[in-house]
Amino acid sequence: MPQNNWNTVTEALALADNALLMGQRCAEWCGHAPVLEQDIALSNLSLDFIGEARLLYQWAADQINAHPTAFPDLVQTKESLAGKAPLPTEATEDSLAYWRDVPDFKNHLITELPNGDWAQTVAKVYFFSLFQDLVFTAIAAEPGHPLQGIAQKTTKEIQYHLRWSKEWILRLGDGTAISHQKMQTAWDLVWAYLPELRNDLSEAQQKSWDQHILALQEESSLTKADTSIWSQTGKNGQHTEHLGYVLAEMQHLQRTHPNSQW
Amino acid sequence: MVAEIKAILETVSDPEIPVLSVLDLGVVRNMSKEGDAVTIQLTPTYNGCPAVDAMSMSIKLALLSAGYKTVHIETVLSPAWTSDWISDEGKQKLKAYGIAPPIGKSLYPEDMENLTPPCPQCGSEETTLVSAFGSTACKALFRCISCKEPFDYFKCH
Repeated sequence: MPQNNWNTVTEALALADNALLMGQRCAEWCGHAPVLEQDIALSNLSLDFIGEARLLYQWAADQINAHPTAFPDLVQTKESLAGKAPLPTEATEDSLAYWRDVPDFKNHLITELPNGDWAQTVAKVYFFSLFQDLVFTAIAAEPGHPLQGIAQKTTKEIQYHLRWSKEWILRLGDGTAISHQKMQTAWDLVWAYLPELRNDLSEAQQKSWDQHILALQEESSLTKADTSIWSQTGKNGQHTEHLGYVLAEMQHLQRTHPNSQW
Repeated sequence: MVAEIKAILETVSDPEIPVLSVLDLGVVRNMSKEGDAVTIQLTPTYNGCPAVDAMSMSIKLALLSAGYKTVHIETVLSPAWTSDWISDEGKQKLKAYGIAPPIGKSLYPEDMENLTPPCPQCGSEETTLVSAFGSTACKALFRCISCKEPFDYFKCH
C-alpha cells in the first residue's frame, strides 16, 4: 500500500518535477513534428504541463518558506553555485525549477526519457496522463487537501491529453504493419518504467490503471511487453543518464545569467 | 462603487482575443474596494495560458492609471474556470470576431470528432474538425465544408 497522499513538499515536488519534465520533453518536438497540427498539439501539451508545474512549485515554495529550517537545501541555492550574485534567497517556483540538481529531482523516470520516435512520445504521454488523471481526480475530490484547487483545474486538461494520446496509440497499433511494429516497440520500451507509476497509486487506482491499459492494449492490437527490468528510483533522486542532459539544456540560461528576464 | 471598477475592467481585453474583455471571459471572480486600494480575484482559464499573466498586468495598469493607489490581484483556482462563465455578450462578440463560441456545457465533455459548430463566417452547420489543438490552448481548428474557410472554435472547457 503506497504512502503517498501527495500533500507533503517532497511529494508535491515529485508531481511538479514530473510535469516540468513532460513540458520540456514535449516542447522539444516544437518545429519537428510530422505535421503542423501535431506540432501545435505538442506545444499545447507542453504549455499545460508547464502551467501545472508552476502551480505545484509555487505551493511547494510557500511551504518551504514558511518552515525554512525543515528544508535547508531548498531555501537557498547551493553555496557552490553562489558565486554569481544576486541569487534567490528564498524558494520560488524558479529556484525550484532551475537551481536543483539531478539528485534533488523526485520525478518518475518515465518523464525524463528522451522522446524517441513519435510512437514512444505518444506512449509516454498516455501512461503519464493516465497516472496524472488517477492521482489528480482523487485529490480534486478530497475536501481540504492542499492541492485540491490545483487538481480541479488540472484534471480538465488531462482529459484532453489522454484522449489525444489514446487516439494515436489506437491509430498506430491498429494501423499498418510498420506502424504496428513501431507502436509495439515503444510499448515494450516504456513498459519497464510503469511499475514506478503504478506503485504510487492506491489499490483502487491500481485496479483502474490495469483495466485502462489492458483495454487500450487489446483495442490497439498490441501485446503485453515482455520485460522483467523494473526501474523505480526516481523519488530517491537516482535517475537515468538522460536527466542530467535535459536539465543542462533547461537550466543553463538561468544559471549562467541568474534572474535574467525577458 | 464596484460599478466604477467594473467600468474600468470593461476596457481591459484578453490579449489573444482582443474583442473579449476580462469580464466577458468570466475570469474576474470578485472585486472589492477599500479607500484607494482595490482587490481583484482572478481565475486563470488554462494553467499554462500565457495570456493570464498579461491580463493580470493589464488590469493592474488600468486601475492604477484610473487613480487607485494599490491594486492587489489574487489568483483563485477553485472552483476551476469553465467556458460556461463566458457571458452571452462575450459569445456574440466571439462569433462576430470569427471564432465559433463553445457549444454545450462543460459538465458534458464533448466528443470533438462528432461536433459541428456552425461556421462563424457563413453560418453553415456543415463543418468538420481539422485539429483538436489550435492557435491557443482554448481553441480547436475547424473547417467549413460549405464556404471552405477554416475557423477557430472556442473549446467547451
